[in-house]
Amino acid sequence: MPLTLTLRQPPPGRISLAGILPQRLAGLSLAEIERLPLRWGGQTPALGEFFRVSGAPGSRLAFEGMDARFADVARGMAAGECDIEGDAGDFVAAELSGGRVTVRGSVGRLAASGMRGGLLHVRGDAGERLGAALPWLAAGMQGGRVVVEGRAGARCGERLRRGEILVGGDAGDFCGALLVAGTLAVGGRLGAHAGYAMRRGSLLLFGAEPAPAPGFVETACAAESFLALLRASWRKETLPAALAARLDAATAWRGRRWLGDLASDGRGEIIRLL
Amino acid sequence: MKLNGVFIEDTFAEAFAMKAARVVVTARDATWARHAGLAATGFATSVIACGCEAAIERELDAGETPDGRPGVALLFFAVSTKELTKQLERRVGQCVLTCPGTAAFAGLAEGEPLPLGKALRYFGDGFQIAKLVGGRRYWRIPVMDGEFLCEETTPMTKAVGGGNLILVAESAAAALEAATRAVAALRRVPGVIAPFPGGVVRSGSKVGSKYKALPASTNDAWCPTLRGRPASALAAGEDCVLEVVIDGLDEAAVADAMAAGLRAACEAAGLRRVTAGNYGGKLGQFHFRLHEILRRPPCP
Repeated sequence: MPLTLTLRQPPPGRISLAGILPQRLAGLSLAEIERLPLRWGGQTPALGEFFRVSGAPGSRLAFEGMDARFADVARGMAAGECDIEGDAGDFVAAELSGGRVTVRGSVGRLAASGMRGGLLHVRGDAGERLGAALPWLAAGMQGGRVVVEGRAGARCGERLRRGEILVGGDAGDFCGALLVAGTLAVGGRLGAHAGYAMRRGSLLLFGAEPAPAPGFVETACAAESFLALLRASWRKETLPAALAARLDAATAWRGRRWLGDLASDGRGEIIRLL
Repeated sequence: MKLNGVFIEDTFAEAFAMKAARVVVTARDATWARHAGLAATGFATSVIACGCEAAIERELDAGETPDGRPGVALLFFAVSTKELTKQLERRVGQCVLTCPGTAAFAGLAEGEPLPLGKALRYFGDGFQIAKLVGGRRYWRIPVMDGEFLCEETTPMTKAVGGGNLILVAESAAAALEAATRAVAALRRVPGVIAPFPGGVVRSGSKVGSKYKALPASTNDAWCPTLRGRPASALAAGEDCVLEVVIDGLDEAAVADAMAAGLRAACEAAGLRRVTAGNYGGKLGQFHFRLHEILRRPPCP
């Protein structure tokens, strides 16, 4: 049985779980883990106040009965697996550099922000700025994969630099805004201003027809090889169910393509797959 | 020893260390993949004057290529990393990038990376874009029929060049029949090419020449029109000699190909004997003894 943290009582407010990582807990006893201090404002309540600790410390860590008021879950994780049963708050898997984080619920804002590797799989919805950069940083996510089965909030993938974000449902306003590079795929509808000021990168749409911003121009879509590579690669990876269905819906992907944002670098693309 | 009545000389083929790369080229259909492959491997029979030795290793079904389209696997062999790098850039740049509907991919799993799209991307004049898919980096270069997709690098491996069979026959027709059979058989071995026209060379060479400017010249000992001269290696009734030269990704591939070629050649009527070219064993690090390679099990 993996090391399991089962919720004893809901937190009184937003509590950070920064540093509660499989690799850090692996060398500790259950008693030592229960005594680990958490951050709540100026106070440092022990982890054991909120969680019952059981199982064997190792490369896997499970949270049961989580609450959206816990922030920074799996933040900075470099290896191992983290399973979260329930919702989690802001900054889930932020700065992740390796391993796999699975959330059987929804996540808050800025999940996967600053991520450089690994996988974040969210079975529910994601809040604003999924994989996006903090306001004072030039680039958001810089590697790895994010898979969201449900919806994503506004500014999903803002300033994405590298890696893939795949959203099975709808995405909010300014999806892919200021995109630097990387690939962002959305299975549902888009909010307003998709791809606003994107420089490079690919925004792939499997759902409704987009209304690209004025800085986009429609081009020929001659990306058969690229789309075939992507399709072959995705067949081996975790995907939102909505996108997985599209893998088998046609023998090859074809679509409409827009180039933009010409007001920015202008080498980005929005491809709506037919 | 004899095989099907053909005398197999107790000698060896002397082969050399080379550098090699495999490039997979795909296109909208097999015809256009073949066009690109033939152009990219044209004028690549010998490193003596072509810069590299290259050929289509085999044609690939859609299910065997990275982008699910028909393609060809091309093998390139050169004497140095620098020369192989130059040849790849020129040949893929001038013959694959230019060919309608093509894409180019690395064809070996590992090895020192040589630039492919990394060098060709500049043709995009700033409009090119890079994509990282499944951990591999590709360049998408706008061209007039859409875009040329090219993998950033292709691995280079140490290889073996210069495996050979010399087929001595009683007539030109018999020699050609034996050589044709040999090439057809050895081309079924993975990882090898026979870079000369149709896989066969009639102008086997010796090192040096009476003319100082030439590094190689005709192998007069094996020319039937010089038979009877003191240095001739031919006996009466041996009227034609053809050679099959084989490059392979490793020693085993060359040995398997030589064995396959040798067995097939000996089924041709009119073949008198089979020998192999060497330089006394002092120049090349790989020696393929004809009697020994015949002990290898046939390649499936």
